Amino acid sequence: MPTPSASGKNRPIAPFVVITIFALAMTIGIALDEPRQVLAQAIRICLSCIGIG
Amino acid sequence: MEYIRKWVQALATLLSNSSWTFPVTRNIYQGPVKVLCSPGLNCYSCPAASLACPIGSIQQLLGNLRFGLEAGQYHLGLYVVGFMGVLGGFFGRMVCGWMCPFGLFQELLYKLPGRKWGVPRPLRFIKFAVLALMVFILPYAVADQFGAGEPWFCKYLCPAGTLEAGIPMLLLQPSLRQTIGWLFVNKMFWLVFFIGWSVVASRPFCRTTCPLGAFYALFARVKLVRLHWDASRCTDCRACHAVCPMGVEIDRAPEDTECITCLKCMNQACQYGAISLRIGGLELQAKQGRQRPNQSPAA
Repeated sequence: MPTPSASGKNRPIAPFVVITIFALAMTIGIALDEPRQVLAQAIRICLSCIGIG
Repeated sequence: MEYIRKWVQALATLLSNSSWTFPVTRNIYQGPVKVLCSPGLNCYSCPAASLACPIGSIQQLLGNLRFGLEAGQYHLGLYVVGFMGVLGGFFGRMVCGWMCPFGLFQELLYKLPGRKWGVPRPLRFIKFAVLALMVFILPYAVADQFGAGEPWFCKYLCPAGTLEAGIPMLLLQPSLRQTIGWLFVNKMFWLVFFIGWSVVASRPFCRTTCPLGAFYALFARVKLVRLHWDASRCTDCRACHAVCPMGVEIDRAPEDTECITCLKCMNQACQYGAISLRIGGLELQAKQGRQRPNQSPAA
């Protein structure tokens, strides 16, 4: 099993910035009620998506 | 570790497709859990799908954006892009290697015996064009007479949709068979093409065409979980090249956009501990490894 071997020096900050930005985007999307639109599409059979119609 | 990865892949596939009432209902799952997106490519019109496909969702949102803007609704896809971005920031293409049902399908096909071939490296750039054009630009820019866009990638290319949704829905709902036309023939062509290619080459769809893989690849330099290559321990034996399912040469390009962090190079190839896993800068080393032959004990 892997074991931690470094002290955590030189820890990059970029991933945390990126994750924060996208988490903020997701929060804005939720505030704009996008999940309801996603659900509305996902519960219907998308005929063109599956190559029919 | 490969054994664990296979189990994680199977579990992720099962969780993304956990609705097994379709033999009775003959329809897709329509419950509230489908508001969540699946991390990997998994068609939400699959009868067993319990999560929404992020790529399909983005195209649908952009296709309906004109209507939304006229009604004062700004559904730009931030929820879905934000979800994919958070996953990308944490794992990058590790999602492809550990959580994608279609990735698992290709790996199983590659296990079939026969002569194996590589995938020309320049073909990797196709998937970025697919992501930009078929997922973002065309669904919004090309509208029908009513102002609605189409899910271009799903409609014309996605083999996962044909495999997981097209064929099963034709079996479940015979009335749909009357609507089969050139569109379905085109989709079947791509499915058969990628199945055949997957038998003779490792993960060809992931490497050349998958727009979700292309999106996660954008995080290769900024993801939290990553492989680290230590030049001082490397013997240039190239054993890591031979085991990589994505054709990555980690000693030449440690931050290659194709790396799916399957850990084969670390656990199955490198005997000298030159490759390790880092999470947020914290190193998790699988084994110390042997010392490099030309390295003195004091070095």
